[in-house]
Amino acid sequence: MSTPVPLKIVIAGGFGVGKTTTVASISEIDPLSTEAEMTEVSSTVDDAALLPDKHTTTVAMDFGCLTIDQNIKLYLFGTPGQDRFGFLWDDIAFGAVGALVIVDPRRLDDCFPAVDYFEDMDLPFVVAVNLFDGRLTHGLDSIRWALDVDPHVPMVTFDARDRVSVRDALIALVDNAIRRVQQPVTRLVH
Amino acid sequence: MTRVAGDHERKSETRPSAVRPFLLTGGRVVAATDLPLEAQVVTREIDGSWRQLSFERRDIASLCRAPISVAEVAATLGLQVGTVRVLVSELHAAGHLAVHGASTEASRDPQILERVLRGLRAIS
Ligand SMILES: Nc1nc2c(ncn2[C@@H]2O[C@H](COP(=O)(O)OP(=O)(O)O)[C@@H](O)[C@H]2O)c(=O)[nH]1
Ligand SMILES: [Mg+2]
Repeated sequence: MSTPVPLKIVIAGGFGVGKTTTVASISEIDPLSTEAEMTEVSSTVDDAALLPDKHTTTVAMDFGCLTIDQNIKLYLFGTPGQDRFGFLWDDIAFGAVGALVIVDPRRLDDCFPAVDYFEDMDLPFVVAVNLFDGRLTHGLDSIRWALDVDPHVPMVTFDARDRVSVRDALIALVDNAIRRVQQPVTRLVH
Repeated sequence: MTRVAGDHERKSETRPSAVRPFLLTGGRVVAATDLPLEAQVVTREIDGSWRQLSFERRDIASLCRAPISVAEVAATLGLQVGTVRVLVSELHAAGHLAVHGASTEASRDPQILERVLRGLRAIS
């Protein structure tokens, strides 16, 4: 048996925006969950000892995968919601094709950490607005304005429970990744 | 984070229709921290010596007789990712496993990305 080439896409966004649902809708395997151990250094420093309060926590991350063709397997990794797990984000995002940043239109603020992260990483991403109740009260343009994302970042609406809809969001992302390779974005420095 | 560099990629053997998995290790010891979550782990069946391993090591070798990702190994065996990374790098050093990844260039290669697009479009 030949070994497939593994590529990956990051599924990011705040807590409860539909990351696990998105992975489950399109993965060939039941989404798996695995734990990663994190050493957290809390921001409160014990004055007496002058030692940071260090403790270990485990974070669950879930993922699924898709067979693209005989040679290529595509993994989808969901980020843990909280941005304080930055280490794990780096681990998930390293070498990724790009990211789908899922947004709940009722809670736009929750996606700021993800948008900032992928902008800083210079990783292609698409803002995917999960239409929980099937309609958008404000248009995509007003969401773009509220999120202040660059004009080159595509925005789509989708339904995390629908396989074809998730597929289309992933297509928008890969399309964008190809365009970014062919004509790299030159950023304006203010 | 540093990763094993792309010098082992066998570009000359790459045909447009066959992307070659990139041998992450190229005979070297691969550090546990350099194992991507999606890296494919395969047991080397040369002499079946993995059968003499015990506990988690044997479970990993048994599971990886068909290529499977580091993340899937962890989830399937109920082990933490960090533990699996350490065991896989150790088993690799002992010659029981091969580890393949995608080169960092693969995710920026328009030809490969076009194939991903085609694969996604085929989903209904
Ligand atoms: N009605 C509706 N519910 C959804 C949709 N996407 C996710 N949910 C629900 O919202 C909750 C959170 O989704 P989940 O995928 O677990 O979010 P995560 O925390 O980002 O992984 C779950 O109860 C889902 O069933 C959607 O598109 N429509
Ligand atoms: Mg989840």
